[in-house]
Amino acid sequence: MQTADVLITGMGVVSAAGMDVDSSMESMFNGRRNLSPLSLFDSPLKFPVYEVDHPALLIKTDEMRTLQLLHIAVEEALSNAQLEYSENIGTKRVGVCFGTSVACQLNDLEFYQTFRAQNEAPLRAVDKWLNGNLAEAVAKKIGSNGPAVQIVNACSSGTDAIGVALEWLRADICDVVIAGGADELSRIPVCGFNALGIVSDEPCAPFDAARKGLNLGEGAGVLIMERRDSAFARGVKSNLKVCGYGTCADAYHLTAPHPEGDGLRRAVSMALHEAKIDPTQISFVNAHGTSTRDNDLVEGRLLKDVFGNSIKVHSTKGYTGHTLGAAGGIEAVFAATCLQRGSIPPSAGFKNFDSEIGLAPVSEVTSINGRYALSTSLAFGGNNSALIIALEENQNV
Amino acid sequence: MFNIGTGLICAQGRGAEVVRTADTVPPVEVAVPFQDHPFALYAVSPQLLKDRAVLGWMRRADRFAKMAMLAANDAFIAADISHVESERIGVILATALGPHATTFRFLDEILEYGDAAVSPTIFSNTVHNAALSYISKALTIKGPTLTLSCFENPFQRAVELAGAWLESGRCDYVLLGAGEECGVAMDYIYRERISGMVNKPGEPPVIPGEGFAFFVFTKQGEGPEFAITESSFSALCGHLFSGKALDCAIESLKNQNHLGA
Repeated sequence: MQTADVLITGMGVVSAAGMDVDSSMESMFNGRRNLSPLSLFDSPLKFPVYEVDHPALLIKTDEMRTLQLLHIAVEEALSNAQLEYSENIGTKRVGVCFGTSVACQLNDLEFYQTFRAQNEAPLRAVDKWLNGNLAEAVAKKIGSNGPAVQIVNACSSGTDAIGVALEWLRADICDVVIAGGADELSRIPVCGFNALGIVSDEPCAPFDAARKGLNLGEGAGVLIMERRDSAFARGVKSNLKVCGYGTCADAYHLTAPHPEGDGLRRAVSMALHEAKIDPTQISFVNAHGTSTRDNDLVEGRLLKDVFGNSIKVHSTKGYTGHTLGAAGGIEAVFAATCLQRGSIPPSAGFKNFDSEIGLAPVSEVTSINGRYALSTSLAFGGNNSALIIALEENQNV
Repeated sequence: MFNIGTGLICAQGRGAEVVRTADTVPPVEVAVPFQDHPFALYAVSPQLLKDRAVLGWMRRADRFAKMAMLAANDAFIAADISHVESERIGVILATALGPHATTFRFLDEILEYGDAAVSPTIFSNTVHNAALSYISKALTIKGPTLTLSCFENPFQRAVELAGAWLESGRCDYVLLGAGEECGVAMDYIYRERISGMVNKPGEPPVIPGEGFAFFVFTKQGEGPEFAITESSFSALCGHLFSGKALDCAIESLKNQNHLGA
């Protein structure tokens, strides 16, 4: 396995937890949960959701909402990495890789309803979709010249996009990759997850014995990933790196995770192997923790089994909701930032220990020691992905 | 990187029959209401999707997943890698449009039954990586599985990534496929928007097609390394947004046919 160092030289995030990295952290560390009734479209389904209220998000626009969310996070990340739009990007081999779940679908109900009724329809929604491939749209906007790929692996898409970026950088295909995930709240998952019976009508409670299901959310999370030699040449410093990625299929079921967490176990093991560390070196886990009965049971048991029941675990979905294809990107940003801060926020919503799981997430702000964080993602289709982020002792290139 | 197994399903048939038959299947005409002319496309015959041995357990899967399954299955068998440790095989699927016909079916559900009474099964199949979920389960593939979606060169991007996976040692074999499905709403969109993007002045208008091609790639092999072909067989398969995958499969099957003859 190639192990060229890949630094994180910039980060950006937007979700209901906050409009950027700092405000998200401030919000989570103060335990604020910005849950609200669904307002983006009319629906008889009255579940609480985590919507983003940002002035840059316009309802009537030629851009998909997912892309608008992504641009907010990309802008923060590029600025953080001192990579301004088009200025110094053209001189680098820059790849773009984003995960999504909703943005890849032509799912505009108004367009389709009109088409069904009249056999023709205004093509505004089609144009938004054709111009809305996240990777291609961002590559065009920033003027990058490397590969641009959108990953559509359901809820592990964001983590897998970061994994693809890691592969490109290690294979020396790129100097820099802008990677992560984005998704908007859309009627399709709202109806679909409700039909599956896994949406809660209360604030979600990951790993809690009384958990009733997930709350949907939206947002974007972006990492600027860069080869150490590239960062050095630019004079940019960072003490964060992506050092391990594992991804494995359950080969078990279209929607349910393997009951023993088989694929997740192998994904975590692969990521640890790649990072050249053992389980005792993981300081904390930002778990997928959706608050569904199945996910939390399988994931919690597996984490306890691999890391022991004293491992510090939290789920940040109690602050963001389940943001689907964005989740891996957002949670990678949170994991990296928490490593730098040396503490993690409480896992929102947790009150009651679930003896079936046998593992309790942290319920207050918790200090962490050590240099490695693990972020996990489980997806429809039986895909499991694990990402390890490291904090270097000295901030240098 | 070497291709050691090819699977193909397209308007001309499935697998080697595509290159063995002298007769070619013409595009079918699809009526698009309120349009002056029917819409021509190279469609996969429904008869091909009646392979119970491969698809019998996928009763609830959509057409997109079934076409992908057949091509993936054939490539996997041709490569003879069923003995390989399942964790050492990865799968990549590249598509531009994904299972859009299922998304429209789900919108039908919303419009006909309301937000609260839609089918969870149809929803599950709208997810772009559903096809790979069926494939990984059927072929017991437990390595990395990845579905990617772009409008520009998705197949090329997938091939590049497969090469990186093999080089880095992430897996020893990559089952890689690309493909698209056509449906009524997409036919309308193709006519109204996409044709204008892909037609070239002075050349006959492109006819959209559907189908899937899968390959098994490995680092070591015999013969020439895999390269994306310059040849175009769009006159047989139609135009697919997923790129040159079907062209490469036909070329590969032609070469095998030639060697076997």
